[in-house]
Amino acid sequence: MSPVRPRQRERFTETTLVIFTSLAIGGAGLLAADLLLHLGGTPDQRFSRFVLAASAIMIGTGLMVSTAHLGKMRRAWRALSRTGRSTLSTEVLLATVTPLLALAGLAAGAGVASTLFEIAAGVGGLLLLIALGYVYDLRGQQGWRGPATRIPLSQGLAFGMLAVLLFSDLQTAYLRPAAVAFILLDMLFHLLRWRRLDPDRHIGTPAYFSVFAQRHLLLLLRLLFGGILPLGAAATGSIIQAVVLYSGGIMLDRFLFYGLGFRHDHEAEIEHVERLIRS
Amino acid sequence: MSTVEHQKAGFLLDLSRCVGCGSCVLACRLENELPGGVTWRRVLPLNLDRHPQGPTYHFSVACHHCEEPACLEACPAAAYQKREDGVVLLLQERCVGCRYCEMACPFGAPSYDEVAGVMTKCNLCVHRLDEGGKPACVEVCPTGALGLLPEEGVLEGSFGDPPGFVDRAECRPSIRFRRPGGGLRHQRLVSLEERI
Repeated sequence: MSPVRPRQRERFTETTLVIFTSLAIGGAGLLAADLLLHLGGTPDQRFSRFVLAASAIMIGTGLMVSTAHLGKMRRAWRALSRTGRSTLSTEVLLATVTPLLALAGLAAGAGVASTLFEIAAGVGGLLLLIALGYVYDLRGQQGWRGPATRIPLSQGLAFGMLAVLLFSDLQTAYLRPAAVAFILLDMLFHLLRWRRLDPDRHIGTPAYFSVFAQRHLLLLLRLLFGGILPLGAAATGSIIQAVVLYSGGIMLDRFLFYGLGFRHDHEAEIEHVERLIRS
Repeated sequence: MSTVEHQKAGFLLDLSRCVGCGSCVLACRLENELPGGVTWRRVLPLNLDRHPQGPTYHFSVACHHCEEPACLEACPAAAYQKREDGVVLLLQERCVGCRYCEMACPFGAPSYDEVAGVMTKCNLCVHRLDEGGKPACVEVCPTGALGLLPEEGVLEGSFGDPPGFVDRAECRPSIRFRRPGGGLRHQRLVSLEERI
């Protein structure tokens, strides 16, 4: 393994972001799955009510928790100042509006208005999944670019489709293959992201060296909990197990996302040059 | 001999003159009363031979006041402003302390103040610049290695980024490096290709 100078931090500072992004991926994934049911012509009233309530709670709670990451929590509203120009600002807007649309759909009861709110919330959920990935497409973070930006979308859709399978009376032909397809797609993005995390590819200085040193084991665990084991459980009909395992996979993925963050800065560049000279 | 166009504000570092004394770092801390844990300027050595007698040069780096600042582009709270002269200012009263700019900057310029809960960054000592003075780091440099880009907007001489500097295509930093050609301490700047 090529030597990499450790940059030791005192503590993991992104716990609240792990919680927010995990809940947001789950909640937005449910909404996106509900939207797919509508597009597939097989909406279900019971599933819709569940999704609207669960997603509002998950995304709303995650957003509240994320404000604890801010140095100035009372100024949190300022994060909406550059919507459309800053990806983070746009993500915050989506995370604020989407649960409100879901609550509006619940409050509207049954009927056209409720369906419209439900579809709007579904679109919001889909856009939120995309934003959660691209918010970290940053010039200073080479390891977060490329395949990693697609993982929230694939994970969210996989989680949502697994949740659909919990409602056993929704057994239409495409649901199980769709769930399997999204899980496999997510596994593909994960493997591509794993390949990118090679220090010999010159990606920068690890933020948490202790996590980086164990990255292969941790990334393998993520592959197990976020892919292989849920697939196995779903194949044997244990959908609840599949959902629980996959939820664990999402949280582990989010921890690894921040834990394997890199700084592509002057120190990293000098380290890279010295490594080239020594090799 | 070549000419290089540049924005009005930015640093000019003469690689043959910087001896890595760190006066610029200390001057910056004192001038801006930086709290513990916050650093605006760093001096990074690169010793190509890993030997005391080997060719060594030093980067004295702070914010590069980029022409396309990643921090400004990323900030959700509109806490960054780019002046007409090119100085990138951080407005702390707007900062929410999300540290997103810290992740976005490829040069490690924004620094988080844990006590105040906001980001901080080199501002090119605009309080001095606006009165016709120079930033503290430039004024204190004993060898004349650290300077400001000339106001005319055009540089003449021999320039080029040394190995170990982040790709200039990222954000178009304003800093320019004057390559060795004499000075108080002559160092032959060895190219990366010669060393490998």
